Amino acid sequence: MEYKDYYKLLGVQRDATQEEIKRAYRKLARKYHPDVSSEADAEERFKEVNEAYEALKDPEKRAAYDQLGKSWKQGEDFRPPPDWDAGFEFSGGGYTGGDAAAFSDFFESLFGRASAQGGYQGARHVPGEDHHARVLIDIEDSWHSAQRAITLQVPQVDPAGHVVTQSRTLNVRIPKGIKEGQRIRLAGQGAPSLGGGPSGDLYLEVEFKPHSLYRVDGKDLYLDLPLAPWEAALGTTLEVPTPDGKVDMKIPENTRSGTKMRLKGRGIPAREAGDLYVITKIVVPQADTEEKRELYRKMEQIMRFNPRQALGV
Amino acid sequence: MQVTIYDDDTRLSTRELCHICNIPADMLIELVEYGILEPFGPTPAEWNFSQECIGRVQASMRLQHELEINLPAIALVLEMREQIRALRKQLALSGGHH
Repeated sequence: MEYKDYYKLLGVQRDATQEEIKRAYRKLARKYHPDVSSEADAEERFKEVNEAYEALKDPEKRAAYDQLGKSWKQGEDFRPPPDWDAGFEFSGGGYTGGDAAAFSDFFESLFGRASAQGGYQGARHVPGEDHHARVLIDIEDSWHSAQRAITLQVPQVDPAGHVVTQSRTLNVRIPKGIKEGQRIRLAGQGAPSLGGGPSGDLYLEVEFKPHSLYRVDGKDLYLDLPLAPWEAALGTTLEVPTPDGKVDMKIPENTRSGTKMRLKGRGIPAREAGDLYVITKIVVPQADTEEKRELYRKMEQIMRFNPRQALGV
Repeated sequence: MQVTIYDDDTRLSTRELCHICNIPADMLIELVEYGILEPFGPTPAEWNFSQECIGRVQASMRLQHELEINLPAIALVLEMREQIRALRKQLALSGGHH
């Protein structure tokens, strides 16, 4: 198990006051909160910061943690010394918030696991809780519909009352035409009821994986289409990829770079299908032989072209 | 297994949305009062919501619990988040550098 340097994770000195720790935590929580942060690893960092604060905000836990000494380094392999926590009383209690199931093994080895919340005793026929998860699918799955195995990490309560994470795989048919942000509701796949009532439901929020060719906006798709200068200048008909296969597309004469052209109904299928927008991008061939350089010089003489006319130079 | 798709045409009643998000109706009414949710229909009894509201309620509850901010601030945070997302999308769609 890895040692966690909670002071380092919060960016404070080991002798920081409780007030300083609280301020550092609040600042980092805002920075890494997954609902507002644009940092790539926001969720992971937010968990770490929460765990660090959970350990340091409580003077008793902090004192116990401090007793491990200063010589440990963040990430170092760690085994708790025997009887290290003698004299401290916090095991199983003292959880004041946060997602306790998300805390690390390191945290649990020091402070114990969170006990499951009671309160279900006596409740009869209360439906289980609904669960929510996000699933990443390929854009193509929305075109053709597809059966996908989706693995979820589910926190559960074991017979001893501890919260443990179990993985659970569900086979889900992705319906044709589903869009980003829509949800698939699986009845009865949420948490089981503890009082003999029906299980809760599971809601999967759909998100598309980034695609190498297409960008998605609602049910419309965007594709960059590279053109040779002569194709753009003279016009041509060429093949364009769509998720449904290649289609022919006419490029008119004198097409500029950045022109947006629409292939109607070639976006994500729906009652009214989305469109595929093609954005042209003129690519200039390299002048890497004497013959090609000669051709460019000739163009220069014949074209008499000043692309900077609008700049007045 | 019974599967339902929640798409742009889906409408959820006040009761359904409260149940899905596990919040009391009072909280939902407050979220509407602060403009965090925009229901269709004139009175709470007749309100219904788009399925996108599920995500907005959940984000609001997380922000309230984890950043200790109040509803007016949550409304502001979510509004600015929408703006940032729209700008990012525009950037991604026009630039093509990704």
